[in-house]
Amino acid sequence: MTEWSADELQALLGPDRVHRFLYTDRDIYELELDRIFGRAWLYAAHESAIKAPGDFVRTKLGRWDAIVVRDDGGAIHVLHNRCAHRGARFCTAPGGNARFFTCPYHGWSYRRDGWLEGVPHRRSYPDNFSLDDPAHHLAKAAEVESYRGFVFTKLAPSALSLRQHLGAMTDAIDNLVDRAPDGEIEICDTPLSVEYRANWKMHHENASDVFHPSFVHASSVVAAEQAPPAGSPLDRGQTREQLLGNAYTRREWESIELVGLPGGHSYMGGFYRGGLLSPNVTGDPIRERYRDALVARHGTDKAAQILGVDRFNNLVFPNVTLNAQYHQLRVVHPIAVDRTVVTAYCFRLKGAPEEIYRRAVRYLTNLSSPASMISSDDFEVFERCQAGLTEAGAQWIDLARGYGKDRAIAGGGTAGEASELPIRAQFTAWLDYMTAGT
Amino acid sequence: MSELLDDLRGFIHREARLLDQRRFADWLALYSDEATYWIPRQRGQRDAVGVPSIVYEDRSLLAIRVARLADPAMHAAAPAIHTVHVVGGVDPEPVDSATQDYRVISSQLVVASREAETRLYAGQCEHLLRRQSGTFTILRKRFDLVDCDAVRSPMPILL
Repeated sequence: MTEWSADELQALLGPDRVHRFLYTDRDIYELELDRIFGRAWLYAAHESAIKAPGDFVRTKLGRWDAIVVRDDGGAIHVLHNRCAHRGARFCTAPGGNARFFTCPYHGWSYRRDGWLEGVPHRRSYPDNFSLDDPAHHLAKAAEVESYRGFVFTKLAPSALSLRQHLGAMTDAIDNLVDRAPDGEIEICDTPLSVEYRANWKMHHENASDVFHPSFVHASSVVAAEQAPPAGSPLDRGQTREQLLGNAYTRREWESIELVGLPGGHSYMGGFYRGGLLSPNVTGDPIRERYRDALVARHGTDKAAQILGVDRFNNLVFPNVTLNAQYHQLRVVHPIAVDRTVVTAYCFRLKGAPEEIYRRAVRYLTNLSSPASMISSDDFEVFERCQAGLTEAGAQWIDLARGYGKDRAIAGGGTAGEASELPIRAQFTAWLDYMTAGT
Repeated sequence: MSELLDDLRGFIHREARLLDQRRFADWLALYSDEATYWIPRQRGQRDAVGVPSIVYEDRSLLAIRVARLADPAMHAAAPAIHTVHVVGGVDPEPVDSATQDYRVISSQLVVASREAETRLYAGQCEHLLRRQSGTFTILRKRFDLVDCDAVRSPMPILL
């Protein structure tokens, strides 16, 4: 394994360009798992999936296959799904409820907080074998904390609190939760997962990229334009409008505000203007009922303010993207330097008409299914980038759009239009994580 | 009756072959205006609107897919993906003698090839067909992938 010093890592990034090794070098990828996914606050789960004691969901957190579980006292633990005895992955279910987690190999069983409950053939162990010995307990994430139902975890301890990490991105979470008339949201239990054969960072770079849709999504825009304007009765035109969202002109794309923040976070303004997806949709009885429910809770002004937030992807670096307006969440799991899994969920807004949830389900299927007419073309270009970058050639990737024109914003970060500033913000944080403490 | 069963079996094979021949417009013409095409995400999924699906579309949305497949700018299918459907175990049963509707179960294996790469899609298919003026139209097609709950690669094809 090549050792990369902090200086050598630093030399792979310029202010407006990065070296191709950041996407292709296996040793750098391993360092990312250690220093970014092993140290950063990671989105782990949503509390609505683990309401009762013993409820758990299984996920991936950096190198870990992990279990996020609620214990008898209501606390949430993040456990490594790896038996402390012989290392077997003991849980294969995507989620459920468990009193104990028992390994199928020799029957070691663990409590919901990872503590070793018991071992069969106890007498065969030496006298000094103790169930209380932490070496026999499941490995646990160092810290687990929730923000308004969103559970984040850090595998290793550090001084950075979750609130410090989230910074201004709490706005995105707040806006999603505030959209629920009952003040509570529920995550769907059937996510859609796609694996693409390219580096994990490409997902994030693309999520706030205003320059690609005109090219990458041209075929779905043209096909949707040919479809009858009335749209499908099955979804009241939502799919067509979702495809047409990418039909913005160059001028329109270049007017969307982009914001990059400390910690690698970023967000971009919204761009759906038609039909049910428009932030100002009128004449839709479902939406009227929903708005009325929100007004009943918050009053007219606050409800209008909540519904008026028109943002698209909100990236909380390094592993989750939220879309508050359409009640969506995508979690990004690095699998290898050139393999990534994206798992996407939608939310039910409690107190809203059920049809609002069905629209979120439709949105999820349209955007995040493996068969999506939108993202399948994104994944295709990621894979082509990976193929090209893997071949030796020019070493540098240009990220200069907007560089020098970005506006500094209060509290740190930059804002601008027609800019690759979100990517530059990601790499600023990348370098901080990768060189911290070295 | 056995002639009818043969016709039903022949129809299922013909639908699959039109996809393999990339005659997508002809394929779409087999579907009624109200037809739905469903690839569930859950095993035994019952709810198509309150639970995400891999695909749940009607004819007008399928028409968008078909138009896209004809567009060289559909990057995910450039170069084109070629398929072979292997259809077996076709099992028709009448469900409504008044409307002459038939439910047909089949097992299907789709071998999809793009450049040097081959992907497999296997599952149980359910067609709801209506007999009209000597031929059939598809009211409903459901393709239950055997690995519907798996993490999968992008699948920019029709099954």
